[in-house]
Amino acid sequence: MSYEFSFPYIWGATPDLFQGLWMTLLVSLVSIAISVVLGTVCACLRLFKVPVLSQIATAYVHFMRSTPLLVQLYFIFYGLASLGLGLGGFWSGVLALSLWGGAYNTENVRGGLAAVPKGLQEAALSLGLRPALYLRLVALPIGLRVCIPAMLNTSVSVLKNSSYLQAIGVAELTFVAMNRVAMDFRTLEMFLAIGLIYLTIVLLLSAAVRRLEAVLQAPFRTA
Amino acid sequence: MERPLIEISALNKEFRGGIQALRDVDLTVASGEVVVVLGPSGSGKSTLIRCINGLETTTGGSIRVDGQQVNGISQRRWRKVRLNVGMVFQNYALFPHLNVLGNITLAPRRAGIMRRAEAEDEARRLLDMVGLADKETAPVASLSGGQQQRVAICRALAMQPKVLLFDEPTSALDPEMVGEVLAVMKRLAQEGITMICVTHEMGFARSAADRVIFMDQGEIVEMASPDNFFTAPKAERSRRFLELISRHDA
Ligand SMILES: Nc1ncnc2c1ncn2[C@@H]1O[C@H](COP(=O)(O)OP(=O)(O)OP(=O)(O)O)[C@@H](O)[C@H]1O
Ligand SMILES: [Mg+2]
Repeated sequence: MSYEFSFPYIWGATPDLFQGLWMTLLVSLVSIAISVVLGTVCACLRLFKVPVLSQIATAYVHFMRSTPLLVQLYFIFYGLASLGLGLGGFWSGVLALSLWGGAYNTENVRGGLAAVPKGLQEAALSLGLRPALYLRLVALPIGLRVCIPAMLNTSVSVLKNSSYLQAIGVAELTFVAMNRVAMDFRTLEMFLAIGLIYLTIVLLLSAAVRRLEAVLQAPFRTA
Repeated sequence: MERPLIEISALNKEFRGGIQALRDVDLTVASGEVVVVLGPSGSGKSTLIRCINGLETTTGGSIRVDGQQVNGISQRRWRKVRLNVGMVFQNYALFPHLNVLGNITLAPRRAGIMRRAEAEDEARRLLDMVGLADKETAPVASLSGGQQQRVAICRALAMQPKVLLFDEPTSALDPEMVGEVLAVMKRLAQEGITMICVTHEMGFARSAADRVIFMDQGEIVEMASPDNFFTAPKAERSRRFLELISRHDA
């Protein structure tokens, strides 16, 4: 049997695909934002070796990086629901992706902070700056800039991994494609289409981050 | 009599691993005095001045800064003490993401000492004094080492400290830039700023110091006026050190 590739079929599916794309973007961007904040906080806890919290951050990173995302996702979606703490598909997905990305961003930001010359902390302290101000005004502006490329990598992974959310019924791109395939068996068309869409948003995200990097690199503001 | 700005007595510092970096150091510095600390590598010069602003903890003896007992105090209380103690580092340690003005105004503004406009006026006045009036918006990476160190001096001065600590401020500089930094330091010395300078610049020690301290193996071996120290050193170790230096300079 020969398979006839049908562009019109893809065309007909665009409204569905757009709905899926919207959900993918929403889930991904919210998760990326949370994961950046979470990673930054955990990295700072570890930098200042805050008792207890820094150990918790270390264990969290280790746990997230050593277990499959799909297991984490099921744990949050089904596991919490069985405890009566069900969050629903969307927020379970956001939580799982945020925690997952947050673990990697912890390592990314840690790397960035490690690149901040040690002498700057002594300089800041000797000027009478509080450690928290040193962190906010010196270490993070320098360290976060350094780790932008690494955070971009993690963000791209979060975006791609949002496709796992189809497993818990979140109507994102992959879910939409699977649904159409289940009805119409147009596998090539649908998976090619969403593949190209994922590719496009990854490229756009990368370009946006490169712009951001250039903007942050250039001016040496007064604080 | 006015109370000395810095009173150090029987100060000891043992690093983890058992290295005794300071042994029973006694030192009193009066307001307006310029003290130059000399000594071979590893003699404890950096450790001594880092103890004065709490960048190192001490393991014995006592330090008073402006009358306040500081050894063993919390970081929170150190912050208050450090407002009165400026430090200039060998490698400048400027904040690379800020321009010249940002480097100088960051601490005065954030420590709540000055408003932005006031801090910037003061920064401009200081930059003018060190001959960098035209560099206020320059990124620090675009400056030469000598210029960066002069900015670092301005940054420390902007906090209006009671004493300035210098840890080999010219050691990382190319020879042709040493002079411009020493000129600024001499000027500060003349203006009556209290300074403790670790340096290998004998010319500066001779011309600017009120007192020279020679350290070796964690001890203050000799303390004298520059005239006496350079022309008639008392201790055998001082003599050997000066011989070594003069052979280098020749
Ligand atoms: N953080 C540290 N941990 C362990 N030992 C240290 C530390 N810092 C300094 N020391 C040791 O303490 C001694 C005094 O060091 P210090 O840096 O004060 O000497 P210095 O006179 O400033 O020397 P230099 O001219 O090389 O700068 C040295 O033996 C040094 O190895
Ligand atoms: Mg030293």
